[in-house]
Amino acid sequence: MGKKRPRSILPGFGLSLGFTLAYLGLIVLFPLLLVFVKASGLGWSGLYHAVSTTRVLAACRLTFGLSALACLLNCVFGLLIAWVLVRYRFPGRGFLDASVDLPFAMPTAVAGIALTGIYAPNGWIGSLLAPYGIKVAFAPPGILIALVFIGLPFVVRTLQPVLEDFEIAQEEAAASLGATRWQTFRRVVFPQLAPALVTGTTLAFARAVGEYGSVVFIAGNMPGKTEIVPLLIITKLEQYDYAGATALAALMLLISFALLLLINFLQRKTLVRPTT
Amino acid sequence: MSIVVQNLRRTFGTFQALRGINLEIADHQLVALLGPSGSGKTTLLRIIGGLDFPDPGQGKILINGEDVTEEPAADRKAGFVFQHYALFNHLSVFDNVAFGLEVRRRAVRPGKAEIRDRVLELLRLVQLEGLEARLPSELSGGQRQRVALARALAIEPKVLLLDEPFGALDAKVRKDLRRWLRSFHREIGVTTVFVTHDQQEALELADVVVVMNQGQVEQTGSPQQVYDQPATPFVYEFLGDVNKVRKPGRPDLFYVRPHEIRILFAGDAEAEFHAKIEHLFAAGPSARLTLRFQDSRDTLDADITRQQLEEMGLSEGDEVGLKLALSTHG
Repeated sequence: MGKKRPRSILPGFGLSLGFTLAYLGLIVLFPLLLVFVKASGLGWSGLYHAVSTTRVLAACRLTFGLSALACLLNCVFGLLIAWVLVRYRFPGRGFLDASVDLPFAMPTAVAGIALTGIYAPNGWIGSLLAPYGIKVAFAPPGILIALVFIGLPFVVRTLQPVLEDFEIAQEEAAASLGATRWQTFRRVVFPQLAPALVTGTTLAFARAVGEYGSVVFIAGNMPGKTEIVPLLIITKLEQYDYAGATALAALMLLISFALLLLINFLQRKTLVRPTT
Repeated sequence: MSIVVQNLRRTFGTFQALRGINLEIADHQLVALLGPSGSGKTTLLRIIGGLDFPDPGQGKILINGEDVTEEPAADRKAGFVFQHYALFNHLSVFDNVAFGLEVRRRAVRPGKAEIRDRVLELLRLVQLEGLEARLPSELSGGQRQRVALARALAIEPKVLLLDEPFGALDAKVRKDLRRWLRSFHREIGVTTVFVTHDQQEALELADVVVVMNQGQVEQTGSPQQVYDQPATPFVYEFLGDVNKVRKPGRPDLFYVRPHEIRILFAGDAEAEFHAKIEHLFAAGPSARLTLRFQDSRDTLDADITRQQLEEMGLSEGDEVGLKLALSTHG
C-alpha cells in the first residue's frame, strides 16, 4: 500500500487539475513561451537592434503615450459613469448600462470603421472640426478616441460592483461627524474605491496597448507619425521580417507581464478589508 | 441637551412610517425607543440625527430649544452610532475616531497634538487603549461598537443617537456592553436616545422608555410605569410575558402577568377561579405552571417560587385556586 493522502470530500482533484494545467499550458503559456524562444534566437544585440530603430521607438512612444492618456481619461469619466449608473435611478438607465458593454461586444473593426466615418474630414464631427484645422481621424487624436472607446468598459465594470456594495451608512456617518459632501467623497468613498479604480484603469491601459482592430482604420498608419506597435508587428510579418516581429512581440509581452505584476502589487497594497 | 419632537410625520411612498409623533426628552436622559420592526423607531432616530427629514411642513425637531428641523446632519452635532457601526474600513481606529475633528474648518480644528490627546482619551474612555493602530476588520463586534461610540463622542455631540446598538452582537457581549453603557452614560451625561426591539434591553437600560407601534407613540414613561401600568393593550402585550384570557363564562378579555397570579389550595376561600395544572416546569428560582380553567379552553401561565411549589406539594393534574391582580382591557 502506498502513502495515504488525507481524504477529501471533493472528488476528481487529479483529473480536473490535470485538465486545467494542460488547457492553460496549450492555450496560454506555450504560445507565449514560443515567442521568447524565437526571440532569443536573435541574441541580445540582435534584439536590441531590432527594437531600437527610430520607427519602432516612435511607434512605442505613440502607443504607450496615447494608451496612458486614454486610460487616464477613462479613469475619470469611467468613475463618473459608474457612479451615475449605480447611484441614480432614471429612465433609460438600463439601456445606458447595457451600452457600456458595446465596446466589449462589438467587433473592433466595426468600431474602427464607425469612428473613422464620424471623425474623418468629411464625417459628421470631422467636418465640423476641419474648418478650424483640427484633424482627428488619421492623426493621434483619432487613435486616442479609439483607445478611450475600447477601454471604457474595463473601468466602469470593475467599479460598479464595488460601488454597489459600498455601505451608504459610512457616508451618513461621515455627514453626522460634520464632513461636507466633498470631504466625504475624498476621505471615505474614494479611498475605498481606489483599488478597483486602479485595477480598471490598468486593465484599460493593457487593452489599449495591444489594441489593433479599432485603431488601424482611424490611425492613418503613417510610419513614425501614426503607426502603433501592433500594426508595426503585422507590417514586419508581411515583409517577412520574422526576427524583427518576434523581437517586438517579446517586448510587448514583457511589458504586459510587468503590467500584470503592477496590478497585483497595487491591489495588494491598496486592499481594504471590509468588515462583515 | 433636551430634545423635543412635535407632530412629526414621515411618509415613504404610501407607507406612513411616522404618524404624528410628539416627544419630550429632558437633558441627560437615557431614552429607549422601543417597538417592533416597522414601528418607525429608527426613522424617528434618523430624523432627530438629520439623516432623514419629515414630510415638508409636517413636524419639528428642537434640540436644546433650537429648531433644527431643516439643519443637515453635518451641522447638527448629533453623534450617531449605526447598527452595523459603519466604521471607515480603510482607516485605523485612531483615524476613525479623529475623523470628526479632522474634517472641521481650519479655524475651529484642533491642532495635531490636541487631536491626538483627545482621541487617546476617548479610546481610554471606551476601554480600547492600545488598539489605535488596528483596522476595523481586526476588531471584534463589541470593540467595533465602542470605536463607533468613541467616534461619535469625538465631536462633543449635543445628543447621542444609537440605532440598535447591540443588535449585531451575541448574547454574552450584549449583556456586558449593556451594563457598560449604563455606567458610561452616567459618567458622560450626554442626552442619549437608543433604538431597540428588545424590551429587556429597554427596561434594564433606560431612564425613559418610549413604546412605539405603527408610527405612533403608545406610551412614554419610566421602565416601571410602562411595565406596571401599561397604557394600551399593545404595551401590555409587547412588554414582558402576559396572559390574555377570557374569564370563565364571561366575554371580556383581561391581561395578567404570570407573576401576578396567586396560587392557592383548591379549597381556599380567597380563590376567585379554579384551574387545573396542565404542565409544570421547574428550573431556576421560579416554577412555571400552565393552568387550564375549569369548563374552558383557555390556558394561562403562572410563575410561583420554587419554595411555594414545594410547600404546597403541587404536581401536574392537581386542582388549584387562583386569585388575580386584574387589569382589564377592551
